[in-house]
Amino acid sequence: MKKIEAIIKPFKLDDVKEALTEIGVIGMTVMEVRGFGRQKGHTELYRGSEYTIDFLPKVKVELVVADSLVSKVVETIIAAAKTGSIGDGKVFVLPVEEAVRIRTGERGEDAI
Amino acid sequence: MSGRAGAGVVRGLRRGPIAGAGDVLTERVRPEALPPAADFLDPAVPPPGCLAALGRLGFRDPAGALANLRRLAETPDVRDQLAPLLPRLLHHLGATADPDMALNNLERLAAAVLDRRGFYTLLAGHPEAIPVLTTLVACSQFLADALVRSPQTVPWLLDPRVMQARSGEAMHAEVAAACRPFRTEEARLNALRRVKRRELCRIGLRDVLGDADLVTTTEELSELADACLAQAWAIVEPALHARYGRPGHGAADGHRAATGFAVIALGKHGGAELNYSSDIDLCFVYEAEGETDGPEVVSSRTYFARLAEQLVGALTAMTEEGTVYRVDLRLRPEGSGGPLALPLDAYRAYHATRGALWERQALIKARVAAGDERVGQAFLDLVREIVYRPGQEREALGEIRAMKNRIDRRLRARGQQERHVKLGVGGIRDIEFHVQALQLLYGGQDPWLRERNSLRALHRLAERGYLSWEESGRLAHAYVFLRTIEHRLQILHALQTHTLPADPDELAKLARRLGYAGDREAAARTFLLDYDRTRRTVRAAFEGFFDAPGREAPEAPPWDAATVAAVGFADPERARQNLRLLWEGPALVAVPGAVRAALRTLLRATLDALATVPDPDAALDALERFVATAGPRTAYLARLAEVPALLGGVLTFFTRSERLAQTLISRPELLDTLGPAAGAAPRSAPRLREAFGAFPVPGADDADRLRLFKQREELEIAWRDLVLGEEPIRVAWALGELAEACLGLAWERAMAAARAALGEPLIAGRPVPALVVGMGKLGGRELDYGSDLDLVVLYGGLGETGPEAHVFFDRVVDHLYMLLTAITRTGQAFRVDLRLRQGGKATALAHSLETLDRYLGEEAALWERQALVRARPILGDPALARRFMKLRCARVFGPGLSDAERAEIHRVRTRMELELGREGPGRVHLKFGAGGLVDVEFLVQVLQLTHGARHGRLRTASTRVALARLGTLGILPEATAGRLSEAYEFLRRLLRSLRLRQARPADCLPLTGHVLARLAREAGLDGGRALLARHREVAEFVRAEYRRVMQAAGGEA
Repeated sequence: MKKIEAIIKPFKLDDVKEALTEIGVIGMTVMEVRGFGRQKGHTELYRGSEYTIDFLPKVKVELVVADSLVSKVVETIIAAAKTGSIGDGKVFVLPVEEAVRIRTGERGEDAI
Repeated sequence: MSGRAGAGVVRGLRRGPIAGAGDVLTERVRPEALPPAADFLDPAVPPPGCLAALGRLGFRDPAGALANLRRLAETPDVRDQLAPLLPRLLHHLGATADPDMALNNLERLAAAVLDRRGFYTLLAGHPEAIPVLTTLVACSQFLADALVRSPQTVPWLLDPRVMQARSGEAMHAEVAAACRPFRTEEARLNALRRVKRRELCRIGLRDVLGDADLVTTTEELSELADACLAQAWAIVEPALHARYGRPGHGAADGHRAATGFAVIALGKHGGAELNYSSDIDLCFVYEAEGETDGPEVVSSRTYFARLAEQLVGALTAMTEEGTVYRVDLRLRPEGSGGPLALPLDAYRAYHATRGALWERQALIKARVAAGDERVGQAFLDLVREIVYRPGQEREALGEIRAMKNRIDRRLRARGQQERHVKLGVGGIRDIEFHVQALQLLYGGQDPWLRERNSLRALHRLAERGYLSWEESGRLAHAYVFLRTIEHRLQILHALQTHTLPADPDELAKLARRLGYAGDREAAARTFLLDYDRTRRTVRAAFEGFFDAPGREAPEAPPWDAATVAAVGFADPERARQNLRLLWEGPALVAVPGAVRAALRTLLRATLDALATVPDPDAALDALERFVATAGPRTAYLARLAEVPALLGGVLTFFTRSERLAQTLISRPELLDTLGPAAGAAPRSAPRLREAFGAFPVPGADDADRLRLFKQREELEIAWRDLVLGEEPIRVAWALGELAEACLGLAWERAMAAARAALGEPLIAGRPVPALVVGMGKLGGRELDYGSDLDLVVLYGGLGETGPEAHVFFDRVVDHLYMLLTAITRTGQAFRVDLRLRQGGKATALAHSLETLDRYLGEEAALWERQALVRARPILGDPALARRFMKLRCARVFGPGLSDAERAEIHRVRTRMELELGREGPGRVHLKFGAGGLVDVEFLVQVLQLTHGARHGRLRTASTRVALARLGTLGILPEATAGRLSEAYEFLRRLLRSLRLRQARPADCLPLTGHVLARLAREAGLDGGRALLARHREVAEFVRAEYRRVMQAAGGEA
């Protein structure tokens, strides 16, 4: 089992959700986060007002999947979240030691 | 101006930031006058103080507003976060057209976001987030709903890269990329709806903020529709291919060819002027009948009907993400009863037999929105045939008027004739019908008028004189005004609303959304005044056009058959037609009595004058175009009618020069500078430069002023030349002075621009000197109408401080080149040729004198040396000019000319003859042909190069002068030099007459026809044969002398 964490541009959330649904992934956790990577530090002009790029709003999608699905899920997320411009985000894959469905007590891949 | 002609006027209509109306309201309540922010958010605080403040801020329902504010911050931590933002938020909400609606939407948005704290952080951190969002959700309920549906769009809209104009290509790429990740049709259709909604938010936001004007907004909306169409097609077609295979038809060569398909946009979508909630009007066309290649074979008719059906379905189907567009297919042949897709032939057949005028009128706006370019183009070609057919004038006018009458009656019955922005009396449809009627009437003979965008069509109609500039401007303003109202009505709910709200409160909000300031009542009142004034203007123009009295039966023409016959037209039928056009002429603009009277006098005078000009047919032709363009402006007509010398002159002018007639036709106001007054002596370059200072053209930049000035002066020179018969030598001098003056003016400006941009290179504290050298005809003082200017720019030394000299002068020359050659709305000043500089095209634009010296000493080709024979300093530093002349003397003439070099010159000449002259039976090239002008020039230059070292007087840049001196010095027998001079003048005159006529192929003597006859008449010879004989004699003499010179020192030729 692996946990996949994808940090994406907020407006790409619906696309990522739809693409994951298309390959049969249903459950996920979504949260709004703020962060910065290479975009930080410089200033930009928005309609004539200057402002400093600091923390940018992002959406984090988290899901745990069976090992066999990992590469497919990662590719799907990348395809759906990519715009080609700076700030498209990142995908992290982490090992998961155990999963338990609280209601039934199922464990391992059965629980996800 | 090509593809987007008229853009000048269109841009001129840009309106101020419409929703920025808030700016005038921001003073109403100062933030410090508010109760503490926490009071608004804390449910424990009793409301009275807050309610009063909200009322002052402009909320109609303070209690509702307060409840909304408190819902924005239901927990203490969020409350603490929002409180510091609140004064700014309330301030901006109060400034919107509808604070209650804005706050209500904002509360819904805050409830929809994933994380409210994140949302408030965004509002706090992004300087524009609050004003931008409040404006959007106050102006448009449907865009607010779109945001609530996808709240993640908010950060996207706050990205600077997003809030910019987007090209059609970028839009296509964006839509395609959004659908690409998905495999199922369902997911793709959902993605299509999401991306369309997002783009709509972007376009709408730029619109309500005033970042995009009406033209940009409607163009982007149309491009978005195109992109969605293309994508819908890409989504549905694979399944059709899998089932039916691909449609094909028998091509001309017997093979099977794939059948192309195109989607044609009509209506507003066709005109690239789509609204937020316009239906898109479509029709579908395929190349030809045929069938698919299986698995399941069906006729192409069936295949494309399915394709059209599915395509429309993909756009209109309601999925969980909504729909994309409503599609209207009723403009196809047979309307709702006809097949969805038709082959090209079927469109042709339908419109040849059954199509009604209104159906043809709808096709004016046809545009290929998606699909096979070839088929689309074929359809548009067909449309041209169908729409712009000759002889539909009266029919069209009557029918269009009747159609509008029916609309008027219908609206009157519903009591909407005043409040309906689109169809009401003086509404958008009045303008569209007016424009389209003019297009149907005149588009047949003038392709320029076939423009599908209403604003651009208005501009073009004025350019061609079918509307006065004033009227066209009034209608364009009215159109933008009315379309903006329609826009604001529709952006509110995305419904197809075209009616002004009856409720005074709603009307006041509309007025505020349109940018009307003041309190509600005042805004509504001012708006209604403007609206009524606009409608009256539009209707008056409409009625003036459609209901003009007396159009059916123009007065009897002021001439009789005998007078016309007496003129001696070569083509009397055409002449009669031209006279009729002149008389009835731009009559669809009602002709006032004064103009009628002036026309009467003018026509009588014209018939008298025509009897005396050499080519009455051409003169009358041009006069007709001139009057049509100048429009029925009494002043011009009267002036022409009253000053016989002027009329005669204009007619002569028109027969002599197509080129200059064009100038006068496009700028009739120049007529004022002509006439007997133009007899004043030609002016020198410094005089001309002074005159330029007193040549104000409001609103024109330097480049345009220069063009207008040059055209005026050239016209005067031509007038003296062609009409008053000034000596050719004085004409040539005047043309040269004019070129030098313009060059000087452009040089000053180019220097100033480069100085401003880069600073100036200095040597010992003084500017690096520079020099403009004229080459070719400019150098030899042999300029003609429309000659290129051959230039070389030199500078002296590298400079010690400031920018590097080569960078600086490169910039200067580049700017100079642009100033003179760029084709702007006023045309081009001169063509400039810089290829004669050392090393030619591949090198820097300007060089130092030192490098030129080295170059000539080491690498220069012989032809480059030869070109410098005709070099002459035109302007710049006198000391540098002297150094240049010394260098020229030494490097160009110093070495003399060896036999091998002479042979090389002859080889170049032979190549020119073969490759550029290309003479043969039926082609006589006056310049490059055997015995042509270049023979004389080369002969003279060879002698100059050979003897120039010894005889300083031969180092002139002028071919004329050099020829004369070769005679005086005895290098050529005096008689030969004299005859060569005559031959040279003869060839030049012929070339000039041809160029004034813009004959094609350029510089070739026509061997038959009326142009030859006219050339003969101008040369004082009796008929074309005599001219051809004279030319043969001249060419043979020139060629013989050329050979003699080339062989003289043993060179073989």
